[in-house]
Amino acid sequence: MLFNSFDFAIFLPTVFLLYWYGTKGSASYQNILIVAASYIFYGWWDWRFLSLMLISTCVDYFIALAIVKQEFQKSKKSLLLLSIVVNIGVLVFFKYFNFFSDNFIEAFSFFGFKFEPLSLSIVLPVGISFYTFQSLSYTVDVYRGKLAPTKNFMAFAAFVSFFPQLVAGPIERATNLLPQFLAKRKINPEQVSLGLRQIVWGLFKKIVVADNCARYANEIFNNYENYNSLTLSLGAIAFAFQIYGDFSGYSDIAIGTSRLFNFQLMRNFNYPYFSRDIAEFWRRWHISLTTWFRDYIYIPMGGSRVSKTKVIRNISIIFLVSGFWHGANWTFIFWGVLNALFFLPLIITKRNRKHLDIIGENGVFPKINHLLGILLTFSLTTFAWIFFRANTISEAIHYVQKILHFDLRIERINMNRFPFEFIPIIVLLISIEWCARKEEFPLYKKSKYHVKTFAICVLILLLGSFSNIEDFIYFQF
Amino acid sequence: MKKVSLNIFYLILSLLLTAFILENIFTSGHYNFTPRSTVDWVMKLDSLDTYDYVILGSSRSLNNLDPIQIEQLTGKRGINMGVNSGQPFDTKLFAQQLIKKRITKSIYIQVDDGWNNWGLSHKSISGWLPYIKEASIWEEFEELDNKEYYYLKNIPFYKYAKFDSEIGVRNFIKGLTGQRLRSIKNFGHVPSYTVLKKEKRSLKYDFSLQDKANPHITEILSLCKANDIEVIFFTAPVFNATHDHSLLNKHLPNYFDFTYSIKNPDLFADRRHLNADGVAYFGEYICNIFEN
Repeated sequence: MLFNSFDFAIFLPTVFLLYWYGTKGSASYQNILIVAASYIFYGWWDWRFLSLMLISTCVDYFIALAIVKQEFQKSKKSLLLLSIVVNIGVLVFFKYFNFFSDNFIEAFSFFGFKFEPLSLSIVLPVGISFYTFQSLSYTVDVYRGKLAPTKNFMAFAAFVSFFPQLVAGPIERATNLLPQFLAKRKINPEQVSLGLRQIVWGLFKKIVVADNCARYANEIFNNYENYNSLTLSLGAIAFAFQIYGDFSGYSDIAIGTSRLFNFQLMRNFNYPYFSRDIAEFWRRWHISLTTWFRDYIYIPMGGSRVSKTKVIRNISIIFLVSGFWHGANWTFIFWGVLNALFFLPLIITKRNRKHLDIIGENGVFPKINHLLGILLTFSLTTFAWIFFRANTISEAIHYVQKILHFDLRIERINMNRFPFEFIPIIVLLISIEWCARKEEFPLYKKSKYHVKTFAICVLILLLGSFSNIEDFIYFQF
Repeated sequence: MKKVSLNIFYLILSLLLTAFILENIFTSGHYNFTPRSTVDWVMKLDSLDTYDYVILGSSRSLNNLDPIQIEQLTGKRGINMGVNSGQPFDTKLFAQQLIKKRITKSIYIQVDDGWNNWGLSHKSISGWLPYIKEASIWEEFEELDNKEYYYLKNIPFYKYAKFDSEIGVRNFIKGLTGQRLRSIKNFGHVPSYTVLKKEKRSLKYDFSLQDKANPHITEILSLCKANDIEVIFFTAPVFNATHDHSLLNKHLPNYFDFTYSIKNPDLFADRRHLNADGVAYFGEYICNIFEN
């Protein structure tokens, strides 16, 4: 069920009304309803994969309970390992089996060995990378003693399957979300109003920004050999805003929907394209995944409190894993490597925490050096997005090579053929976000929120790409 | 919570009102601004705009026949009102408008394997939607018995949102700023300058024709007969077709089959459309049917 579909427009109000007016305010009933609604929501795509979610839920629930009962550290560690093997095993099988099998055969054939190709027709379950990581974080936190295991199975099942963030995050920590399922919840009009405004803003980013940019980006990336440097650069920019509008739009709808049920999810995006360097970009982009990697991989490896060589190793591993998390394709791995290369100079020169403040906090416009930093960071991330978007590494390299021909003739961008409205739409998005950069999202503030929400709704109506509704990009991960 | 519910109610109400206002602005744009589609063009024609003939059909009409060349060859002045992905249903709507406004005495209709299609195409239908409330046009849509058209007619702004890339805000702005449909200055003809790709030259074009009268074409025939309008049907060239369209002779009076009239691949842009050189060649080949 897509957030921008008619099905969801019926589903959400129904669940909302049942949740607040059909459960007598009981947390247990509310959790049962959340689990039922989430399983319907997920089963809408493919009911067969509900079993995977159920397995993940049961394994982590019982392992966490068993961990605290163990006397010896070794037994606790074995149980944690079991949880990791089951969760990551399912993920690896569904997401990476064919990738490993193909690359294994290719690598050995290089040395003269021959193997029969073993590619299985495996369907990737939607959102498996998201709920697996969320569920896994629970057992790790219990093992570390950060969290007491819950005995309430329904609350835990609701935590794993919570439909607003089930298929594309934010990846929540058990320490933040699970206690909310255990507590009594009352309807909060402030949160409902805020949630609705955030949903509207998320829909704007998805339907107006992402889907309009997608029309242009898809055409250019699918036929890149026909276009000149200027067109290809515009295609890359269009994709940079497509993926931002798509993914951050999804996150806003997810967080806003959770607010309707009085749940607070973590922020997932913080105006990443206003970042002044790559380190700042990664503090503002897909925050829930970045911090997950930080807490569960980077810090256990020693983080930045080790020798410089080891810090470089740790950072490289994090970006490689991050690339690989996105999908079983060398393009994602290369995208991760590129980001590591952009990031490492900042770590080595200890400039990675230079920009922790809000940009242009005391003025209307950014300082000139900040503006240059923003433009450079955006150029670097957009360059990396080319590898993320391309179907293969060689296509990405050809794409970049064609850009480097510097054929900047404006008449060759074929203005009549393409829907160029994506350019004013990007300008509009940047303007709105710049004005709202001190807030969580542009409709957050209460002042004149009626007018602002109405204006955004009218913009959706007028500029929305309703004839070209694209799936959310992050569903494939 | 009461306040929040009221706010939601007011927001929905204001949006409905806005959609209603936008619907009227966009629709009046189609009636008053520069034509942005062939449908806008036909709707704007009046009885003073008379032509010796009008060509109707799909992209195989608008790409393959150039009224300027035909005028040079025959002295007959005409326009080409073929539309991309046009189906017999669209052709009927065009014919109705032409007859109602007494634009011409001769209608030329390109027919091919679209003969089998009794419905309409998503692409070509968008042009008619701004005019869907006109009684004569709605009557035709109503006959299709599809609820979607009721929604497109009655839900404010739904048509402009659903077909945003064809009749949405971009099209509205272009109409408002006077950016005319480019093909109008060519009397409706849209030339193509590409050549059939080498790898496609060996491919056969296979199709089937059902041996049944198309109800929309039957309606056109009776309408033309009642209004004393001559109607001529023809099939434009197809490259490497597995068979011709002669079956249509059974169902159509005044039918000319030119399926195999051109065999040189260099004259095609793709297997169903001629390029500019092909159009020049075909114009000479076909001009006698315009002369008589």
